[in-house]
Amino acid sequence: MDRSPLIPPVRATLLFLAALASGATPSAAQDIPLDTAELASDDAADADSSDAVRSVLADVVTAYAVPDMPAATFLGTTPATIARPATGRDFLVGLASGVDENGRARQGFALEASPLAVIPGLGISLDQYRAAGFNPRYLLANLLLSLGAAQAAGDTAPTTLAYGLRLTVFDAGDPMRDPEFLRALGDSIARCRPRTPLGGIPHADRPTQLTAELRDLMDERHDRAVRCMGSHTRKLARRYARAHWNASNVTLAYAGGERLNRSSFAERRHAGDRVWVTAALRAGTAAQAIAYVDWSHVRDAGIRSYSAVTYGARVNVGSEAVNGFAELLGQERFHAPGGGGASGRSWSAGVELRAAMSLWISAGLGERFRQTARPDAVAVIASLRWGISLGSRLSPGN
Amino acid sequence: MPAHVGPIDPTRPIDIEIAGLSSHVIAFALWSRLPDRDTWTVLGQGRTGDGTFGPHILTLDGIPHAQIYYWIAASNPARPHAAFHARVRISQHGAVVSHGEIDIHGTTDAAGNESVEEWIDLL
Repeated sequence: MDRSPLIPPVRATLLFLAALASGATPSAAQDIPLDTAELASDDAADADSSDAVRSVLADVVTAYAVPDMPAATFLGTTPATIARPATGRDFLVGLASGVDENGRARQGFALEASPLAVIPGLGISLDQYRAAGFNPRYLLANLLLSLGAAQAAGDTAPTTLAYGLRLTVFDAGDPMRDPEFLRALGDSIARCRPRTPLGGIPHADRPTQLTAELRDLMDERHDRAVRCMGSHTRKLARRYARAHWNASNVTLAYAGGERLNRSSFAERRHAGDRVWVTAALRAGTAAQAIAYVDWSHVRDAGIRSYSAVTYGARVNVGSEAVNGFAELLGQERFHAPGGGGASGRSWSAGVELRAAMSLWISAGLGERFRQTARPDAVAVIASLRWGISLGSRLSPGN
Repeated sequence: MPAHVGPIDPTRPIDIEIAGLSSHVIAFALWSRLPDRDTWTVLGQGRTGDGTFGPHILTLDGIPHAQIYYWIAASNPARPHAAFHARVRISQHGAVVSHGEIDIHGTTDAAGNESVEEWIDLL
């Protein structure tokens, strides 16, 4: 569990800000439901479909980050458990778990894998990862594949199988390419080494069976060392993330889906595609410009097929904990139900205060705030909005 | 289970090389113990990964039935739950001793860390 402790200065200003934030927005941390959870049922009436699209347009956009797991975002679900195989064998076992005994897709299946981990012989060393210039190994190391399956509400609704990939093309805030961070990391984990070997190790010329007590002691020492490392690396990661909150980066993702009638792989049709791209540009030590584009094509029994482009641009000025921001968000929808297209656009500007890891309080002016403002509301945005959270790469809260 | 490495040529020193083969920072500590002794002596410690040096090589007298105890830690906070790979290679006079290549595999935890503690019997 993340503890999300409040940062001391934030604690002091929280009450003040809560009083001030009568115009603040309680932005939901949900992605746009351009997906099967909202729009999957074959039997739904056109009116339902139009309502769904209208509701999407009303929401416009609340999350502007490339998703961590594109397949799950495509499905509109948050998997309870995600298989993350670290070996080829685990990957095959994970894939097999997505199919039931009758050869049909299993509901709730979610798997995320790095090709580097699951394809034997593809491993790369830290030096190879850090090689300067065009580095295919770096791209491969930052490629994540995801798979998921979900069924929309209703017993007869088809299952949607989604597949996705996420690729960090460039990230100036990657700590594992920073020699200073690596040196500090090496020094800090080295502090967790045991002072001496464990007592009671059998001699080489007198081999004896290792006792269960000795094994238990080794396990205890292992747990202690790993806890110690975790404590050191979390501190380092936090410090690094704070210093690189506005690093330049480019990330893209793709997700597609197949609708499986009665969960059968033989009876499938394409459900749609979605592509995300974000690019962030550092400007000095205290500013960052971000652009976001998300293209979607949803296909569902023809009548409810549509395409949409969601876009955004934002400028942050401040620090990792307090930002002034201005943003323009919009969405253009083509071939929407009812004929023709639709569009929505909004702007806003204001101040955001990081209350805890990945939790932001937001107050400001603009379309987004006006639409959703409520008296006494304080926005707590529990997501990696715009992908600038401290947790975006280092997960120091874990 | 400890690795059994050898036979060791008692007339030559042995080289022990520690290298990280995955995108993790590796820290290590090694001790050695002579046959018929109960105490361990520090052989060396260090870390890889900052690009200023390659694999570490430590030297020990070639003594059959001596032992090497190692602690190897791997860390990559940007990549939790990932497989790591390190290697301890024991060679004499430039050639790897029989069974002298010990691959250390593991999976890091949610914070991207893991450590392994084990020993090697020289035959």
